[in-house]
Amino acid sequence: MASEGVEKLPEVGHEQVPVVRSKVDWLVPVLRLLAFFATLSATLVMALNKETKTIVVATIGTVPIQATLTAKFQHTPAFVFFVIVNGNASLHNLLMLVVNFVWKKFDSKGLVPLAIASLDLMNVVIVSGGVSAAAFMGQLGRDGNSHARWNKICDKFETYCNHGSGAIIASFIGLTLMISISTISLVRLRNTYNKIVLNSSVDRSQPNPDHPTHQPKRFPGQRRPGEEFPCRRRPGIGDPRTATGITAGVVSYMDIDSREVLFCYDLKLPEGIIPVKEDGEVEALN
Amino acid sequence: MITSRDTADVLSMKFEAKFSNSPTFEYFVIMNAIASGYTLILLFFPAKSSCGHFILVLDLIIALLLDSSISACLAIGQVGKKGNSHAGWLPICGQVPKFCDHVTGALISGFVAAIIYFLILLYSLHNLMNLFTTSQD
Repeated sequence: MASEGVEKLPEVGHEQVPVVRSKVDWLVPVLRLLAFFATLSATLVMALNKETKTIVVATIGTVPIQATLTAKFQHTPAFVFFVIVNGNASLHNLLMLVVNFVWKKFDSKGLVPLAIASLDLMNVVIVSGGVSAAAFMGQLGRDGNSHARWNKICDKFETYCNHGSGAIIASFIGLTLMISISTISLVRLRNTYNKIVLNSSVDRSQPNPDHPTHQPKRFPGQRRPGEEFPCRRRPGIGDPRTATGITAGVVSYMDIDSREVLFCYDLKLPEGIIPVKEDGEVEALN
Repeated sequence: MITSRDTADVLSMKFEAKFSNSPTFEYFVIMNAIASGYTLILLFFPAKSSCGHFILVLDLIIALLLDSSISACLAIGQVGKKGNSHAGWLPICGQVPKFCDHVTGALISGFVAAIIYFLILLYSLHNLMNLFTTSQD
């Protein structure tokens, strides 16, 4: 295929293109913000979970012997894991939120949405591990296990238990939000990677009446299909006046949050002129 | 895990440890049964069928549940092995060593299953999205 010349639309033309982005543009950042708050609150509530209680152990005569018992989250490795994992997840959500707004400046060819999606997946799996470990530990503390002679502790340390269950519930909400964020990012990633590409085996000698370029609505600057027009100077072609361009078709694809339309043209070069690869825009000329 | 069972006589009291004593282990058994059944069904599916994205979401959910079940069991098993002095929970592995070993074996294979399932998830993501081709714009 000869080198294709791409004509960028003038700004006026964009208004005629239906923009799909506005409906879902705000959904993922809002979800991420909520998930960030949920995991952050779970981390903080569990990390500050502490209760001290003095109970009378025995009485000698009339003097009660008191023992001070503390319930801290560090006593249980499951809760420590829970705090670590939720802290990690809230940091991840915050980072992704920042990247969401700053990302447009660094155009890295679709690698950033992929990294976001896979990091999201990993964090979802890890957070689910932390949540379920803490939930089962909490259930053990609440009900005890008669078979193993493990007494329940929630009747003595009620505030500790309530705070713990609050943190676990917040983390569950954060987990659900993160699952939905992950699913939405995966669906968006699919749309990015399935760009609509022209079929290269199309016969270009005759204009194809079924092609979308035959639609009555036309953008300013767009040529009629099959129309020949003189080319501007393109490097590697030589004298531009001798080459003519023929419209070949349209490529339209949707990025994560934008939509681009490219008009493709074939270059008809006169006999004897062999195009030479000069600038970096063209990789190879067959 | 299902076949783990041990009895011990402690102070003339019969003490039996089964997997069903702990709801965590029951959860583990149920989750692994679901995961193995799902994998068995999925063996007969072609790699890139039309419902590929649905399968990816299901894969994510199953990996999630596997990971959560193994994590919870590890937490409970740690309490069973080391006890928790602050809560007054004595370790039980000394009294029922066979049960402990059996459960440890089950947890190890569960852990391996979770890791392998995570790799399966990444692989089905790669299958769908064709990750290794760079976009050529």
